[in-house]
Amino acid sequence: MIRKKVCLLGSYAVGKTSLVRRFVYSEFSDRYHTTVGVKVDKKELVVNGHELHLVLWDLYGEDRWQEVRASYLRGAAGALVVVDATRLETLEVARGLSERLRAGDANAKVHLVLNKIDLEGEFAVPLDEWRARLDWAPVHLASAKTGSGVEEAFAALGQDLLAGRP
Amino acid sequence: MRDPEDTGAGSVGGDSSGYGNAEERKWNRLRELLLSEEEQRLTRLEQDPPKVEGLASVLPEAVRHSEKQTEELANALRPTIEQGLLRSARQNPDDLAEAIYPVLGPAIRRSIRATLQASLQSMNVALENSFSPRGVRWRMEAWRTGRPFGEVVLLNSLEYRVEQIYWIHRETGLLLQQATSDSPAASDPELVSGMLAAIGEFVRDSFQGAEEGELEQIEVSGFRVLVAQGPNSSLAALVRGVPPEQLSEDMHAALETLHRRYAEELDGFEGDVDGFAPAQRDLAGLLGEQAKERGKGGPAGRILVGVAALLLLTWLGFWWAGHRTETRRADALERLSQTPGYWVDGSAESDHWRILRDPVSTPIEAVLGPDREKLDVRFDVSEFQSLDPALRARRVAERLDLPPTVHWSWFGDTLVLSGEASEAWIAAKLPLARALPGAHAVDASALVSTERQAVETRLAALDGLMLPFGNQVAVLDPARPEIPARLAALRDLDHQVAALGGWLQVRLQSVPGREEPWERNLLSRRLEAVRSALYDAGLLCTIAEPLPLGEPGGPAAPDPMVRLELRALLPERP
Repeated sequence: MIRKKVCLLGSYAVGKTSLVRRFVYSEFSDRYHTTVGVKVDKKELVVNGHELHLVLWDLYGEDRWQEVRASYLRGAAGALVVVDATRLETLEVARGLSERLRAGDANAKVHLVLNKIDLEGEFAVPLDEWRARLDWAPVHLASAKTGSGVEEAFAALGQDLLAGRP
Repeated sequence: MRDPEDTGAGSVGGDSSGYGNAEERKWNRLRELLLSEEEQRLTRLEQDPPKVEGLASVLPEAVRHSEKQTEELANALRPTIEQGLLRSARQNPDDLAEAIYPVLGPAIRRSIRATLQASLQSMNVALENSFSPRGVRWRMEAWRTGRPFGEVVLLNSLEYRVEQIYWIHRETGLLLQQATSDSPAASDPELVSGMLAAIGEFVRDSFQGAEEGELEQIEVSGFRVLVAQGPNSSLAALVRGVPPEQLSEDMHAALETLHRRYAEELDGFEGDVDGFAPAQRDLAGLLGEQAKERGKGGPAGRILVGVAALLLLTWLGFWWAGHRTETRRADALERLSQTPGYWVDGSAESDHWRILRDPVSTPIEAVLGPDREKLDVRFDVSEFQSLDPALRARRVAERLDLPPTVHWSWFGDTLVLSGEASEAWIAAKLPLARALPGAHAVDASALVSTERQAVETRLAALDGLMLPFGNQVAVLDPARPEIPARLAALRDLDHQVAALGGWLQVRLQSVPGREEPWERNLLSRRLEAVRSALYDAGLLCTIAEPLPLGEPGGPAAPDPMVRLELRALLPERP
């Protein structure tokens, strides 16, 4: 069995917790977000015959007043960095968080999730431009509301985390 | 430098330059013979200094050799080593701490144990003078096991249960292995270890600065999470109750063992936890529990426990008996208070009850049954008259000894009697009826006396009785059979009236026959004849004044006769 720590990163209200909710059954109370700033969940996958347990650290959303603690990123094998398709400013936060994660561990796998794609009419920029701007990591289009693309994003990250294993 | 071979050849070949030179050559020759080998070695050293590799091969031996000979080398190296250590501690404390971690733990524990032992000795002294059954039992245990008394006291004072042990990779917060008791407190160890790691980071960041603040213990409603931190991993124990300090020591010892055994795996941890599976046995060794009162004990302990149990049973017996008595008393009180005609001043706790009882109510023995004697209560009984309707009815029936022909009812507070009863009953019971509690009045107007009824009946039958005479005769003819019968009937009536305390009043009227000439004298003599006959018959009746004689030419009977008009003069009913 392989366990990997995976962080859910992104600006506030981009839908990180909703993605986790959609992906796993959350056991810990959301109150941890306001006290400790992180809520831990778990999802079990089977990737290439390996039993993979993703231990998901759902971190509070970063904004101008509150920065994600570097200690929470330590030891993360990868991260899903979430961007809100209706808010362009969430792009820069995602970029900054991705860089901080990789600064701590250059081998950390980063996957981007463009969330809220069900709100197509409210996109901040057209989808093609979103794709063009999200150029530093693999991008997954998802909607926590409808469930579209959520499983695929986590599965792709899982594949990436075990890349190179027989 | 010259070649010695060349020099030698030159010397042997002769020298014509003089004695001094010859002497010098000899000395030189001698020097060459004695020291040429060392000279050559020095020359080689100067031309080709020894390489580091060569030095490394001989240095350990040289150091060992030096240590055997003298302490000079240690003295020489000490400042350098101290400087190096200081520099390392300042510049890279993590590595140094990690390096000495395996030895640091045991050393600290040894120190703590020594301190604790000293404390226990102090506690021993403090407890020396204490004497209690528990103290005696613990002292016996200390004597039996050979442990200090204070330690036994501490052990017996603690109570805890280790339910889960998590071995957590420190950097990632991932669960490496875990051991669980039969009834684990937390459902998903992976999540718990993740949250513990997150909380640990939070504490470290928030309270103490980057490195010093370490999460050591969390308390969550009846549980304690003890955390033992190591350089690469930590152990967390979910404990129910109050764990002893020994548990923390055991956790640190186990963590050190794990660090030693899995040093490489921990350094290169990539998330694969299967390799740590054998560690489960070490973790399981930390599970367990400590009961507050140990069941084990020597014979003396068992005797003490037995005595305690006996005392407890005795106390329970007394308590149960008292409880049963109180329950019986409460039940008896309930029954008495529910029974009409009772008022009780008492309680389940008291053994002296004051009872007011209506005499016509159910007897106490009938109410309480056989429990009466088990109550262990002294009764102080007084009588009272209850106004309970049922008891009033019972009281009427009992006090008045009612004959079946008498009916009674209550009309408000008035007792209404009706029907028929003997004159004696009426005379005896009517005053009692008026004295009945709650009977403000007695209405006996519808109550008929049997004797008076009989008198009235006979009186009605005999009133207007005729005693016949012959024409022109003023003497009753005893030969006529109806005359003695009628006189006997009169006598009986007279007796009946007399029995009632009254008397019979008879008024006579002489009536001439239809064919008889009207003669006043004759009629008067006939009245006298009847009066005399009545007297002779023993009638105690009063002969009233005779009625006026009939007027001549008035109505007349077929035969001459004397008519008797009867009246019973009876006393008023009480």
